[in-house]
Amino acid sequence: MEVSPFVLLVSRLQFAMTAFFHFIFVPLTLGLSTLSAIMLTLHYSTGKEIYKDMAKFWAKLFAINFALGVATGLVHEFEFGMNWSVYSRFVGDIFGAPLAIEGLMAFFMESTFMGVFLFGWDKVPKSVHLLSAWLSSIGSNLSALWILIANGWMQHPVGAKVEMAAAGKRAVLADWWTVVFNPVADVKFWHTTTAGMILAAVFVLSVSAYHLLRKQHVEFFKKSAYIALVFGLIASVGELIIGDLHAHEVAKTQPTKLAAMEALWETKEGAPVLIAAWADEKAQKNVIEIPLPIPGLLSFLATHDFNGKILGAKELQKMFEAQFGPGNYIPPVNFIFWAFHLMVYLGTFFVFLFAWGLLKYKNLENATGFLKVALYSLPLPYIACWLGWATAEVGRQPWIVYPLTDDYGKILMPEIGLKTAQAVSPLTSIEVIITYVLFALTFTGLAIADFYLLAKFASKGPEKEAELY
Amino acid sequence: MHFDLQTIWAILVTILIAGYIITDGFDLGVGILHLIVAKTDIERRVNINAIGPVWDGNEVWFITAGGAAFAAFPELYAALFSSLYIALFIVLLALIYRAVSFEFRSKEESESWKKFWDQSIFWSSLIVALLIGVAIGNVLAGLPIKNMAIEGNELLGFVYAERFPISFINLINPFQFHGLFGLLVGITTVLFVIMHGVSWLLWKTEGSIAERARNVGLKVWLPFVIMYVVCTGLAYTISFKVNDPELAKKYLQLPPDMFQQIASMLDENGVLHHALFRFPAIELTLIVLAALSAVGWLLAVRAANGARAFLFSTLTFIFAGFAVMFGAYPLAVPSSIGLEHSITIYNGSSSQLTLTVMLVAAIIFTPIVIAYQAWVYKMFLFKISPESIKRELEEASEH
Repeated sequence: MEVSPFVLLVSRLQFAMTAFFHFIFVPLTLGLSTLSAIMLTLHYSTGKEIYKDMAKFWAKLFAINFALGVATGLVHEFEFGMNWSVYSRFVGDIFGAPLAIEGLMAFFMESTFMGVFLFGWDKVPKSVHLLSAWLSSIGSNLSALWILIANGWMQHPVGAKVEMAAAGKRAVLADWWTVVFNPVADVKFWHTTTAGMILAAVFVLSVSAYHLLRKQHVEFFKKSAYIALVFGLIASVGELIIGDLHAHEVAKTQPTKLAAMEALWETKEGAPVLIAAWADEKAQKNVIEIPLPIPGLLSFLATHDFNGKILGAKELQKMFEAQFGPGNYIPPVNFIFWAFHLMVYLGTFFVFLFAWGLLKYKNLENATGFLKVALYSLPLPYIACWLGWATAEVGRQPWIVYPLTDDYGKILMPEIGLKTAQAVSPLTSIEVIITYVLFALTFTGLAIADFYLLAKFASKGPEKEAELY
Repeated sequence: MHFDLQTIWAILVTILIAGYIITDGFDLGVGILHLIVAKTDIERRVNINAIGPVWDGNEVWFITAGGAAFAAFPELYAALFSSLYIALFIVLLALIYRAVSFEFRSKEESESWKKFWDQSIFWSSLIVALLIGVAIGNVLAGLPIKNMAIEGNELLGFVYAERFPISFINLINPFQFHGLFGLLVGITTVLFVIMHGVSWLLWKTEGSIAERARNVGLKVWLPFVIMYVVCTGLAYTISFKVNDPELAKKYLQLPPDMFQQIASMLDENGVLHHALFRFPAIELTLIVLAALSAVGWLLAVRAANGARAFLFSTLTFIFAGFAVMFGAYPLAVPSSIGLEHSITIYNGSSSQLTLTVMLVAAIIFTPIVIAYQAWVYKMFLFKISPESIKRELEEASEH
């Protein structure tokens, strides 16, 4: 039974689409749950009413956003079995466990205590209310941990072996703690949750800038902006360091992804970083490249040695062909290069944005230039998150489970590699088209309704309202 | 019955599914009752707020049951979800609309906006309950799945032999046994969640909504009991055929004595009669207990005692759910093509190591989850009514 290339294509598009929709809502949940817990803590520790209004206002926006995060996340969990049944049965022994533990340990905690936080005002004791806000925030970040352990395993499948079972070949767990402490998963966790914090900080800053530009609720939004600026500066500086650690892990474990991220065709010692490049992918060379004038910087970042050797795409292609037979083993270079570089440029911009805001803070309501930039920066962290995911997931292609690799290109376990083309469910074209179109329409419609409500409540400012559905 | 890891996991997954139907079941029921028991805008807000702080925690049971099935029985997860592709897709769409309906409905003043989301709450709740029942019924009656390893394929696993659109139509085709049985179990499930929703509304609300809910409850009891009896009767007639005992022995991977026990029950044509009633004593006990609980529920609703009604509707489902699980054991998805192609809890499960790791996680976290969910429920179990909601809205607008 051969699955048609069309079913494969639509299944991939559908997964990418639902993942992108999901990731509109998730990073804000991760960061804003922490920010509103901080505000609530300030309220209960200082007794000041303004922090109570702040916690209520931002938690309301959080709740509108959360419903769609859950709804789109639900699709994902079932989409593995629905569209990627061969993948699911091949990896289920390992991949399923973190997903199940995510539900049991993290997601229950997040959603149950979020209910207490949102509806418990004056109904539960203060200490319980505060604890609930923090448990909900911890729950959402723990949830990210388990999901990224699952995703990290697809990138770097450690702690597993391959065996024949009653219904065919599959990967089985060899060592649980190796899977949990997978270095790739762990840097991914820090990278993603920090991104969520930056995004939430920009969100709070941007909404605050909107009101400050109109000189309304000045004290309220100045205080909100201050929390966002401090939180955001810490997170964005941290992200530069974590991002560097992450790239270092990629260099070790996914050499083809790194070669595409840096448009590196020839194997090089002392490779420079390119600030811009355009590749002719057929001819396997760059048409344009503008290097940063620091020799060996890429080698240093990737291997922590200025003369370190990095394998180029050409050599990797030959190496993979020898190991796995004919096929294209290099992901789309221009796409990955620009997705990765734009993400890095945006990440750097956020550091400046937060630092600029803190410098202007004393007279923030009159710093029109800064407030305008802050207001229009709202889409940028979302774009940065998407670009990051695109780099990670498209950069993994043609693999859905990357063959276990370490030490900058030593393939340790070729048999565990599974190509995306092998992993798709044996469905018909009509089925995948129906679900693709209806998911696209539904998510677009709901996202519009969601943005409308977010904009409505964000621009309304803090108002007393009953905590009711 | 063997007390090995696979059996423990079969019980745990059943508990998670039961946990889902018990917790999300009542809010599905409240959703179906939304247009019937709540007429005015304030009443509808009461209805939604009756499940307000708890419904999304309830839905997590679904996510966790899905995750646990993926982790403990990956072959089952992969085969079932790709086989029931369109049906599951509709359930997901309905769950999405339901989630956002609650969130969006009261955030705009416009009449048509509210009406749209009210309708959405009703239909999405109805569809989820119906299709979950349809899926359970179809699986029990056997699906046309094939173990591709028998045909020498190393990767595909269990694959649905029918193609779309036949594969979907047959799930609700009343002229096919599994479709008919699926439909009937679906309707029974809808009636059950309505009963469970009635329990909750009696417990959580007072005034006009509780009164109307009680009347609905008194009306749905008899149809539910009749449907339950019909489904049980039909379930008794379900049989499966073994085409090749050697293949069954090799590919079902049952413990030898369990395989012997099943093999000894086959007739000369290889047919396993009354396949879901291989342990009639246990089966009958569970079914009778479920029926007694349903009677207890009726008495509680008559007495307008919400807490007691909730206990009895919960018990009804627990007994009925375990009757289903024990009936099918050790089969997870019986194949209607030939029993040797079935997914069992043995050939469909994860490795011993994964099952052990997951068991440790479940032993640690499940009691914690149940404890704090129970605690949250207790905290939010104050009664609400149209009057109390009105008061809360007025107080907020006075500030």
